[in-house]
Amino acid sequence: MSNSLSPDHDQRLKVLLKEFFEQFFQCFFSRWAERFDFTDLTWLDKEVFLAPPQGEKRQLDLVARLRIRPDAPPLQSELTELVALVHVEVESRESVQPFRPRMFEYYTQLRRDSGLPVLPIGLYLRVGLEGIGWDAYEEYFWGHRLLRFEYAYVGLPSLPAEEYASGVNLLGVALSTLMRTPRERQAELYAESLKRIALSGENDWRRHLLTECLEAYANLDEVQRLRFQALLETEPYREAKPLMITTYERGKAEGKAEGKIEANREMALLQLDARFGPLAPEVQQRVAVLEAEQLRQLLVDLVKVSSLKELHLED
Amino acid sequence: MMTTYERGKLEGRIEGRRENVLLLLVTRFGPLAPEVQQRVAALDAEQLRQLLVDLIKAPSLSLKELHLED
Repeated sequence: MSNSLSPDHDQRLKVLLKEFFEQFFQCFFSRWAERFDFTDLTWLDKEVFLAPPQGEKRQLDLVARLRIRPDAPPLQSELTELVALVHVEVESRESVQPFRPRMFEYYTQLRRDSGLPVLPIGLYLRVGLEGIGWDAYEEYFWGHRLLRFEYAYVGLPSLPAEEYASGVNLLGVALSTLMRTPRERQAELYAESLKRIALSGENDWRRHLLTECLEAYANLDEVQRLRFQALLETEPYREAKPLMITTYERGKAEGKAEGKIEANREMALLQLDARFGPLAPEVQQRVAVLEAEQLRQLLVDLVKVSSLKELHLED
Repeated sequence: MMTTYERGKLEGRIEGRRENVLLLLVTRFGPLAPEVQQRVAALDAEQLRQLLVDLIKAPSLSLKELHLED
């Protein structure tokens, strides 16, 4: 039953979380949502550092620097800091065992680098635990606990899809396909979620992100799929169907355009390699970042020129 | 499961490859016979890629050697 949780999907999930960051808190940590000022937010997730003891470079999923509202309770007694970091790390594996020490490493590193208070949150796609709570990493020496590090977590598989799919929070709706659903309700909930997003009044881009997430993690079998398609023809969906189709078509058209660009890039690289190859990594990198129109031009120019310089692929 | 965007991307890649293959064929061999066009239309993603590679790396191959003609 394990549907592929591709790195691609997880990458786009991060884009969605960024776009709906405030909703993320409202959805899962509503008490905290009102303590942050989401209008004063900077993303720091480009941050890459050496994570001991492995010493490798790591990129954290999401790190936001946020202002805390002055009327929120103090973070610690005698601490008047009004800026904090929120670190959200997505875990898509079936076990969170290796994730726990990593969260601790990230935490210590973030604290050391920034000097700011850090709120760490794990978002579990495949492990439910208690749904929402505190998970912990511990270290022992001869049975004595030296350390206990806690971080907040959301374990989507333990949350009731029914409740979130029909709730007001659109991010909750989009994540509902990762939540606990009775098999016989899957098709209905999926259709209902798509309808909610279609009628949400959000702009095209945001609707597209939400729909993508819902689709990416949906796990309908053949029976449920047919049932879903039949449902779309029924009265409750009549109103939403045109919008649902628009979102679908937009996604499809965007994918298609991207696929064509890839095909052109592939052809350009093959032709360049045949004529001037083997290609230096710098040349490949330059081709990798060309946009649609530049690629088309390159393919045209390729027949006329005799050097990479003339194609501006070499200095 | 595969999203609509990803399905579109796959289709776009195949369509783009097919267009590029046809472009190279026409450039090399002139107007194509309907049978040749039909054979190209029936190729899947991987076969199209192979044909593209052959067309570019071995510019002297004939339509027959490219398996587009009997």
